[in-house]
Amino acid sequence: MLSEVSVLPYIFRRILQFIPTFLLATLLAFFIVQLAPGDFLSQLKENPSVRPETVERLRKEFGLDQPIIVQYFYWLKNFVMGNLGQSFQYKRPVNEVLPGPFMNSLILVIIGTVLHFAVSIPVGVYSAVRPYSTADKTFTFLSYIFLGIPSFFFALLVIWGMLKLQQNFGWDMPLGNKTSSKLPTDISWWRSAWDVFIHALAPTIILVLRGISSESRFIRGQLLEVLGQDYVRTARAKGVAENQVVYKHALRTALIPTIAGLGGLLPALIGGAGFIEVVFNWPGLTPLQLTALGNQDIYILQAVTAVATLLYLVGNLLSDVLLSVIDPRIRYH
Amino acid sequence: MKKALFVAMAMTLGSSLAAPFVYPASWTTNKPSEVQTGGTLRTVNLQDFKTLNPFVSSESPNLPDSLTAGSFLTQDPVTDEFIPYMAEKYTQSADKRTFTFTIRKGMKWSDGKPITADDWITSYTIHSDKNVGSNIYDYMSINNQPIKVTKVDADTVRVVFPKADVTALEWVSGILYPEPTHVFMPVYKSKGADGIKNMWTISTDPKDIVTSGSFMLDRYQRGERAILKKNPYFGEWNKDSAGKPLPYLDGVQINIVADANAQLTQFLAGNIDVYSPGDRDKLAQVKAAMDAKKINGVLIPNASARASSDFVVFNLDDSATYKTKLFSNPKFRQAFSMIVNRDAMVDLTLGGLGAPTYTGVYPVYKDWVASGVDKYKFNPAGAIKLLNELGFTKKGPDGVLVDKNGNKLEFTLITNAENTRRQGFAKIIQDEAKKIGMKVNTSFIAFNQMTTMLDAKDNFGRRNFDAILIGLTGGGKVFPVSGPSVIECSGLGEGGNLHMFNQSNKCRFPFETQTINLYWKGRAEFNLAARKAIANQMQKIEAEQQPYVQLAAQTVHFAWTARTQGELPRAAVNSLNASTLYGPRILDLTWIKR
Repeated sequence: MLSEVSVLPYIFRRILQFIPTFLLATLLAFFIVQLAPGDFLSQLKENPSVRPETVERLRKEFGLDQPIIVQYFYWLKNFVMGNLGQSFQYKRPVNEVLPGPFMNSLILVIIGTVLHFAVSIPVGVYSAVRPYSTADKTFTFLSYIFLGIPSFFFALLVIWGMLKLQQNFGWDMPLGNKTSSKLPTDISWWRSAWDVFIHALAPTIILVLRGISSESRFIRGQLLEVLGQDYVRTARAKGVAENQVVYKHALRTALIPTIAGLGGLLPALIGGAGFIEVVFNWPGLTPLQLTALGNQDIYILQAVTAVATLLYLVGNLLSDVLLSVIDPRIRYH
Repeated sequence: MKKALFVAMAMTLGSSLAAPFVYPASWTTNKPSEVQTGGTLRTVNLQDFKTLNPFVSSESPNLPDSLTAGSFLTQDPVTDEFIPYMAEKYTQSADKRTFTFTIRKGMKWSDGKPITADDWITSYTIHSDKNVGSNIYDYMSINNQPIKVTKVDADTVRVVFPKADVTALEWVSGILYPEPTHVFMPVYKSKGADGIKNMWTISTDPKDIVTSGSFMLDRYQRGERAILKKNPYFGEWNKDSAGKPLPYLDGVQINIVADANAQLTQFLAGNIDVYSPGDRDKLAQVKAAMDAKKINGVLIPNASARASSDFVVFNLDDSATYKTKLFSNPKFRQAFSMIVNRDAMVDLTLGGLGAPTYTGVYPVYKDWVASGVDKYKFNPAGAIKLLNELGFTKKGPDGVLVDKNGNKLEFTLITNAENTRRQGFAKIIQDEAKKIGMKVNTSFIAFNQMTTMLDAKDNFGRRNFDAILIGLTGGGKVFPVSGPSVIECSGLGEGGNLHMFNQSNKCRFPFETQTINLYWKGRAEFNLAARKAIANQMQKIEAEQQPYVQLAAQTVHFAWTARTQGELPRAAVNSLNASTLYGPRILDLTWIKR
């Protein structure tokens, strides 16, 4: 087992290394966003009724008249103090704009993560314990299909299917959005929670199908390999029940890489659910980021990038520490 | 004596009885007796609303506009005339500059407080404060001379314009709306502009939002929908032609659906009531669904052209180079206009859903488009003749025309990469040009990069492009010609104005000055027929000089479910009268059939 004496300095060292990585990543992001021609105010210039002086005044107000590097350090100073800057579109602090979409994305990500492990581990184990059975072959076949179809396209197919059901049978399908527009406004909290869950179901399932497909195949492979090792044979030889062998001895070892990957989930929390959110009209982070990108609302983009970078760094560290906890063979220097 | 008594009685009656505004029967297809009250209209918006604050709002459509009743006057969508609305009556001074409005009695805010003259003053004061950064700050003056709004007495407001200007009618009906003094003034006095900017954000409790319009905010679910409910006080001063209080609806639901395809899905599923198919694919799907009886509703394809157009603008900054000299010759631009196959653009690029355009007065203003403006319509033979006159008589081995100095008839046409329609237009131009020996190279770049090229250079040097294909959207209904920022040729700021063909800050051609003079003459003309005559003259010049070679405008299509009733009469259904959120109807007269 890892002693505390060795891990604390290691963590401290890693955190020190965060600083240059974070600075470089955010600086790069800031520059790339600003490299695009024009800025948030360019679109105003096409409006015949906006005077050029007004555009200049707003440019000053938003700090867009400063050199990019100066703008970056202003942003950095504010970021350290917990101020994510001002959204040009909303004319409100980003701190106020971000939480709503963030929580919405979190709903998809959390349901998705639970679903991901709840399905891929049993499927992987079943396939490994009964390799080349009909069920295993079916799982393999489905995995290739789900891995092969891009999820946004799959989402469109599902929406089309739901639309046909609603048109032909009059069933009320959760066709996108986070809540139903047909419910009255004064419903109990559990009724609205159920409504959100129903609407979240289709996007999350599509979202995790790819993950489940690859993860279950991966667990299958890992477990098959472990099941062939000497210590498993020894366990079987001394008469340990097959269930015990699989779940207590083999699976624990086979899951090491999966657990080590848990840290990578942290940045996914803020990354949102990607284009699925757009296709399903889910009011999450991706649509917010896309409109921000289209309007060059830089501080929203910068806030998401910065927080994602931080979470990514922390997640990586967490993975490494987790790995050493569950795998005694790993040591840090 | 008797007569005097009668007059006195009439006057007391007039002031004690609050006369409501009566919506003319001509504004809806339904008789008041057919109408059922109650119900909710479900509509859709393409993006999340960002604020409830009328002083901060800069998006379109926006919620503050949906929640406001209007202003002193309103424009009749059928006759286009301006009629008193929140003003009971008004007078205009002999020099046409001063309007005096008598406020309608009995008007109330959604919290029950009366709407008074002060509310216009409050609105004017805060919108005119530079530090608030209102979107209509620029409208508070004309040519840097402020428009003055003063309170005469509790019921009277005076608006003085710096000069006689017909857009004043639009200003007093659609720019300056009253805002609740009792809500905004205490904050403005104690905390100033910053206090105002922090009010009424999108997450403010709807109970604190006070509105004048037919609806008030019930609640806003961010990224999902705005739910509006009937303002109970609105019906006290707004009646239909049978005297019934308005609005008919109990509520409105504005669903936020950020993706155009997802919007179509919602309409096809019957989840929303009004929809405007944006392109021919969506139009075809709506038609197919209606033909197959999947949705029961009404579809008006090609209702009218949109108030927008695409055009090609050449670089006329100077005549120093061979190319700018060529572009500066009107004969070249006329020849170019004659190789623009506008019908092919409508048929091929717009799928038949469009109209050819010849002047900056878009086809939707059908009473305004002058006759004969299509003088230089598609006519390759005519184009060749003009090019011959310009010295391009023989073709080189590559099939491109050359003049006697060996200059090739070749230039680059730029448009933005995000816009497939404009790219389609550019390709059609390229093809037709090639047939007569004009070589057009196309280049597709980012929109912002393109507008940077159009902007004036430092010290107004020659800009670095040959020709650009871009578009503008049209202005109001009072004088729908290109506005001052498009036609003013001198006194330009560096960037930001839209005088796209010549950014040298000098009026190089007589027609530029003529156009501006005509424009300001038209702006000062309150007689509609005389104003149209001026617009005709302007278009004749434009058609002859071709400073912007107009291409084609898209048409609009409207669809709604059968339960949605009370739309405008068909003759008034066009892109100018249709609201983005509610389609071709007046929301207050809309009702739901059950």
